Amino acid sequence: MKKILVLTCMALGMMSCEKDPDLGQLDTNMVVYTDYDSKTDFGKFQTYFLPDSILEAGSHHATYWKDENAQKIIAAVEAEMNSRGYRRITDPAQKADADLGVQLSYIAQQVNVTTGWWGGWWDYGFWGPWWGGWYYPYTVSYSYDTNSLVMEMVDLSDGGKEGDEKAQLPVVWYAHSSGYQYYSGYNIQLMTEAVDQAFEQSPYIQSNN
Amino acid sequence: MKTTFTKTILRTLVLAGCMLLTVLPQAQAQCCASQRKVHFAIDWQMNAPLSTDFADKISGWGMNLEGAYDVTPNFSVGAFVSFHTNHRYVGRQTLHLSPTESLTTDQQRSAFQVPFGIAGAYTFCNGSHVRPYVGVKLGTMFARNTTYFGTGGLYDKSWGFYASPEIGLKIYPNREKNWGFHVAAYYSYATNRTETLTGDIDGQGNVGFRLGILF
Repeated sequence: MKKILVLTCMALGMMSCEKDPDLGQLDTNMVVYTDYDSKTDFGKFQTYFLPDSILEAGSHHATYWKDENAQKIIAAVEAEMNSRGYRRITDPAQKADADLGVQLSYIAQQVNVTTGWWGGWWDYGFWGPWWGGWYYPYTVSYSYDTNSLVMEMVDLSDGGKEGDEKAQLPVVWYAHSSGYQYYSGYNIQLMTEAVDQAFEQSPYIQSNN
Repeated sequence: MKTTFTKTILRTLVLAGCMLLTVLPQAQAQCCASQRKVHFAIDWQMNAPLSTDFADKISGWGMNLEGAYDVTPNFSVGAFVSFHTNHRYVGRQTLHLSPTESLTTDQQRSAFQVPFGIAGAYTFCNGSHVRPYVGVKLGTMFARNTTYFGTGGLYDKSWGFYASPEIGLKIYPNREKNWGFHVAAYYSYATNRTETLTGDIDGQGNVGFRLGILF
């Protein structure tokens, strides 16, 4: 009877014996997701308006990111759009003449994690494989920083008529890049590479110009 | 590469089966009185999922636990539970999630399986040092397939029917004692169905072997 009890306990213990994979093997590049409106003919557009700042989503209100790092990301978007045959309109006064509007948004987040009594299975590290791993008999809290860059392309060609301030603008292309936050220079490099990747996996963005 | 590996495993199982058949007459001749009727086994196992194209990489992150009762000197029934995790890293690639959606990322995939149920075995000699047996396990399996990418991931879990034929050897250094060693090779199939980032998995096959102790 005692043995059956021990076996039952061991069986229940097995349920929590999933070995975690080595997440350190994942590369540092941002995950890039894109989607588009299949009914949109991207070939008909000729011009686009791209602001000289990036919208930064905050907890209370949005701010605008304009420094040289922001300009590097904006320049990467501009280079991609120009290479697809579109012409950038830089004067805000001529914004209404643009066929497309491209908006960039940046979201930084801190993720807080609190472990309970059982911290899960870890590699045995210094302690040898004869130990099952280690756990925290007390609560441990830690956090990590993530960031996302969102690119939205809206069709301005059918809206924005005079006296029609509340025209609904259809988002015809959406790109979302996300990853862990690193030091500033490397972060900007990862984001500009993510911009390139977003356009690379969106070959349908091509003007007939 | 995967086909070659599968063929090697299947060839090994066939060879093990042939070796088993050759030792049977000798083993039967050596039969002697059985020991106690209740037995237990704790095994470490190596397992390779077959043809799911998800985490089909052999690993040793698993165990099997079994309790058996000798209904007759040769035939035993009992219960088992085992668990196993297999991982596979997939390099950065662009996935087409739908006609309009694309996702570029690398992935760390993890397949976790916990089958449990009843087990039956026919042992060809219950008195010699080396006792070959054939067995089958039937039951249910819990499966969870997780894809880690970027700062997060996604998983799907399911339950399915589980069946696993098995051949093996029970090795008793001292015939008068109840403790010994256990070697087994198995194939298993479960009807679990899960959705993953890159497609559906409908049915999970595995091959593997176990090394353990008996008491």
